Amino acid sequence: MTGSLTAMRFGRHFPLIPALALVFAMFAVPVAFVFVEAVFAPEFSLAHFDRFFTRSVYLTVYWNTLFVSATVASICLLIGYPMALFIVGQPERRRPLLLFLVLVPLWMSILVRTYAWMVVLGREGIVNSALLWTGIIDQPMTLMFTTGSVYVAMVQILLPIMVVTCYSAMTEIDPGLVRAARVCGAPPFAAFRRVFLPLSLEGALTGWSVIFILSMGFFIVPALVGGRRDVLLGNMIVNQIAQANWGFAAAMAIVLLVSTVVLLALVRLVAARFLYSPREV
Amino acid sequence: MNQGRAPVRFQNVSRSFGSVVALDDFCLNIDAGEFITLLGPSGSGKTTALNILAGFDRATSGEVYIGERAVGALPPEKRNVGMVFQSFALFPHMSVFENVAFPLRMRGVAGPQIKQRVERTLEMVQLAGYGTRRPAALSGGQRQRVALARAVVAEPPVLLMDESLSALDLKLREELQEEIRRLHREFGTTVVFVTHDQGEALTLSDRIALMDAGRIRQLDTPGALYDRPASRFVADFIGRTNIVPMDDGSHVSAVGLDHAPDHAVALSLRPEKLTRSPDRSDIRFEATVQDVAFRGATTELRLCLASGLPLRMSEPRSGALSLPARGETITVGFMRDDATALHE
Ligand SMILES: Nc1ncnc2c1ncn2[C@@H]1O[C@H](COP(=O)(O)OP(=O)(O)OP(=O)(O)O)[C@@H](O)[C@H]1O
Ligand SMILES: [Mg+2]
Repeated sequence: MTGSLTAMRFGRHFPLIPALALVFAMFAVPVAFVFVEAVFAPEFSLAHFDRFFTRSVYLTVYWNTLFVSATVASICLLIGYPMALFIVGQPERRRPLLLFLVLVPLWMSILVRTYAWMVVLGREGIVNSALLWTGIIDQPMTLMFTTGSVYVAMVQILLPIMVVTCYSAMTEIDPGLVRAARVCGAPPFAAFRRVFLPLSLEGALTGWSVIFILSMGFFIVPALVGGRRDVLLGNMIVNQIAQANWGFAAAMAIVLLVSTVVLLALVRLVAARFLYSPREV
Repeated sequence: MNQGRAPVRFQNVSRSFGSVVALDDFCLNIDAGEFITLLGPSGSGKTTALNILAGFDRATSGEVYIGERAVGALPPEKRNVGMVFQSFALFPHMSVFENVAFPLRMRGVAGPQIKQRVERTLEMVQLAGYGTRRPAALSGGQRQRVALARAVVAEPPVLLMDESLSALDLKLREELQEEIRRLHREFGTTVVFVTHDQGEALTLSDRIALMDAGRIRQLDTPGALYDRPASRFVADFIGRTNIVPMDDGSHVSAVGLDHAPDHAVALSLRPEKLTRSPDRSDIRFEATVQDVAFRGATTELRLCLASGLPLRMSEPRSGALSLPARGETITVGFMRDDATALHE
């Protein structure tokens, strides 16, 4: 009896096994290696972490990485949410085309898109040429290799993810609910604020989290379009690896991973108090 | 509590979707406080009519009035109607209390009053004490009760219901029908109810507007619609009936008539109006029994006329007469007044 029950449970979870094995092999094992690398140098020591958290160079970059990631995710939210809202508001047969247009950039490599920004924002780039030609400015502006250009490029690269996440959350919302709110006496904006917005926030938060995670690991974009001070943790890890400082690189990778997990857990925790989640009863 | 009621008027309302005409010069006057049902087959335009009344859709031409006011150009929130949806449409992120309070909040009612009115309304739908629950933690019937409470809490002069009960099983549906009747009596609101369930329509309504292809085929009380259908379509749609074509002389004589009623294209004979007892019929004819089936309180007989027309007959199981055998020829009759002449 017990045996057959166990067998049934095993049978139910069986399809998960390949996925779990994959996660284990591709994620857990490498992370374990990185962890070992970080704390054995060659004997057990926390020297790498000590160095990271006591030198202001590293701390500055650390805070900068958190700040840039949170800002990029928030900008994407502020632009992507209304875009998704716009698409959901369109007649059903026009939506696939609009979504397609949003997704097209995702098919191009980040490298190509980043170089494209260099073409657009450079001294002889499209923006400067256009402004010079119209006479609005008489000297080319410095647009490239600034903090601003890092934000612009990162937002452009990550925005489609936000739009798609918000869009799919919004299509889950029964349009009948907004109608119900309207007959109950709610003008369009009140119906949006009291019904549609709370029901779509969960999806928006997921989008924010995904973009935050991805931003935390960015290094190509700041390296190519950022200035000397626009360094993210990812860049430092790459540098340390290039100098074969495996131990310190591994320690920074661990800090990056743990910070991301902790921060997202905090965000979830706070959100759970205020947000409606379709899973809870 | 009876001040909140208003007449509703559809005046020559048409609505087309491309080449599909959903409402075709639709006219309907609903009295204040009346319970009216739009009944009709799928695609007959019931939802379209209700959507135009609620403000979710606009008429291609024509006008809708609530009370004295033309509302065709008003958004839903300015029409002051209550509505119960088929899918309940409760706000999943709000408690039962907040769901019911929503229309009051939107109308700017003060806090203490909201609490009192919501609690009273929840009591009326037998959900006192459920205020803190989320809709997801309720059964289907309870959810529809919440939806009902939300629709009536602000005492709108008009209450709309589109297939509001069809998502529920039979027993719950009957329970909710009771509830709706009671609420209608207590609030005295004008109710426009949409269904394609004729039983529900007959039970609930003061009048039924039977619709087909965007028009009203007959507007009458449930009794009149049942007893005096004006057309084949109505006779066929409301209850079960036998349609005896009158354009073919052979059927006329086969049901014992010597001539067809004036201008009648067909005759409607309800199965329960056919009888084997000679003193409850003044017109008699012969028919062959093809099948006999028990249905609890009644016995259902399938008959065949001499002219080849099949007839259904429903007989109360009084036991006065012994049941005929299959293949036997029996004499059947009806009262002339019980047969309805159909003119179209
Ligand atoms: N948005 C729309 N676009 C195109 N055609 C529509 C639309 N809404 C309704 N129609 C058409 O209008 C006609 C009437 O539809 P309506 O929904 O009013 O029928 P109904 O009586 O409510 O039917 P049901 O009992 O199936 O709910 C149908 O032929 C339907 O296909
Ligand atoms: Mg309908």
